[in-house]
Amino acid sequence: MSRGTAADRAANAARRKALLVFLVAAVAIGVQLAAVQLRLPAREPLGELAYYPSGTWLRQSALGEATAWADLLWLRAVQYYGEHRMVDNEFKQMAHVFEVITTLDPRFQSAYVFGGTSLCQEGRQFEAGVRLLEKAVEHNPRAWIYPFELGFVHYVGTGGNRDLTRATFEFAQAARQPEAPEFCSRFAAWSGQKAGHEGVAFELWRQVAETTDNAYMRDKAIEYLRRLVKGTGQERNLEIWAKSLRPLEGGVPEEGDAGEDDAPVEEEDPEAPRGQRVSGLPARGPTS
Amino acid sequence: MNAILAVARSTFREALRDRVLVLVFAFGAIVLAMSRLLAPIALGEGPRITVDLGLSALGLVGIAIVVLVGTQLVHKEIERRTIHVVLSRPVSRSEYLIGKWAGLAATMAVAVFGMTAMLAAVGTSVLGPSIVGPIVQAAFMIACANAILAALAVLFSSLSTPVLSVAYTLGLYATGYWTNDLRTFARQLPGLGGEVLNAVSYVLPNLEVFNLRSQVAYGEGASVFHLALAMGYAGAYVAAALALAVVAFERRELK
Repeated sequence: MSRGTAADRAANAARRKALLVFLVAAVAIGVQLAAVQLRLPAREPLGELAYYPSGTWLRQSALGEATAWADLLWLRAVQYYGEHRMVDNEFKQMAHVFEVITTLDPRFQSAYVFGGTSLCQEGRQFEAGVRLLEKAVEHNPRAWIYPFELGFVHYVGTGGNRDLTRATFEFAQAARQPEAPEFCSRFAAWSGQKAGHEGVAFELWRQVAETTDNAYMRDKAIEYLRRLVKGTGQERNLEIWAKSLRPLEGGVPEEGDAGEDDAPVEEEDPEAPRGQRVSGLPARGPTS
Repeated sequence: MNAILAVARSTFREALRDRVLVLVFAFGAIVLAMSRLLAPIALGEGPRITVDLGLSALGLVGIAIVVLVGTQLVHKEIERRTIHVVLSRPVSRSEYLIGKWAGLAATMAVAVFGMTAMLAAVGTSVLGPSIVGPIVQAAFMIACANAILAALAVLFSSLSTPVLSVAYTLGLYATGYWTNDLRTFARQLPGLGGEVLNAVSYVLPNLEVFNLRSQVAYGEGASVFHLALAMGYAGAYVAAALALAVVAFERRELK
């Protein structure tokens, strides 16, 4: 009995030694790997997106599951956008990824709208964004949203890409489609009259913030609205209005704060944020 | 008819004994749960992703049953020699094969419609009751496509080894989604080659006919005409595949 116990103790001691050696070796290997990793150049977030094959090829290989693949790629694209937005604001692969998604599912509205506007705005790839939205029109000729978005990106166009003639044409095209909301023709009229740019831009971004289901899109729209009302005394009203918007599924990581979140909330004036900036426009805003 | 039903029942019971359905439902439940977990990062596309991935899982589960169970259905009984016990009774070879297919199709149908019920419940909670109709239509079409593949699996299982049967069935599953492309390719190909390819494209099962997944993503269903035509096509193809299997199996010498 006692001999057995002694043997057990010896075996336990041997096991403990082996475990200790194993742990030391694991830590040493881990440290080495970390050191190697530090010397390597930083990996681009979700860089593998560059190796995605063309959408046409993927569509053939999807064996009837093209929309499911488009959904999975959409999740990757959203991640890609989110990571680069936080890291470097460079969106090199975005045009390619959205091209693949929309080839897999040519009716994927969110991919067209989010991809098109993001490429034109923060992606600084205006041509690619417009191409994506034109592809949307080609595949969905009776949908009003795509010519409206084309009008939108041409109206608010950054970096010398503003084109009021094209914007007016696209807003008018949107207004002609079945089920087009009434504000399409209003934007077409304002754009055609070359009404005060900031006022119309404000209404366009407000439209996005109020109607989108995409948290990133809303965040982006509110960011542009903040820029537009800066120094007008309407900042607080804008924040109140932004807080009153319906909650969306998922969220955008907080990067900064408006600084007024803790301020006491005054009585809401829904007309106030746009009131003074929309010069030359009818008293009623473009959305109800 | 009684003999067919008896063989079908025993095939179905065997699948239940192998816990095929338990595995299938567990897999389906996991996929549905995962698709709901993904919803918050989908930026407003969560409901669509839930339904899309749910339908894909449903299709894949059906294929898995057909391939894993169907391709060794007959071969296993020949190997174990239990087929002699069955065929010594008043059961003809054709009844045996049709019964095997019916049992396999019933197993697959129970799995697909069980998962459809789960998906419809989840779909209703995220998109409202209007999505149930399109989901049921799409699931029914998936079951029709899988019934064709089950007939082909039985055909290959009665002629070949399980490994080759898996390869043939999966090969036809893949090419079944390329028949329209094959026809386009055949039109570009001059001469006899193009004509042969065109003929081949009509012999292969056209599985794209049964694919309503992209419509369901937008809450749309198919017309009654489309459904009736697809059902007729599935019935004709299953009958042809089983007839071929019966002809081949009648001539086969069972040791």
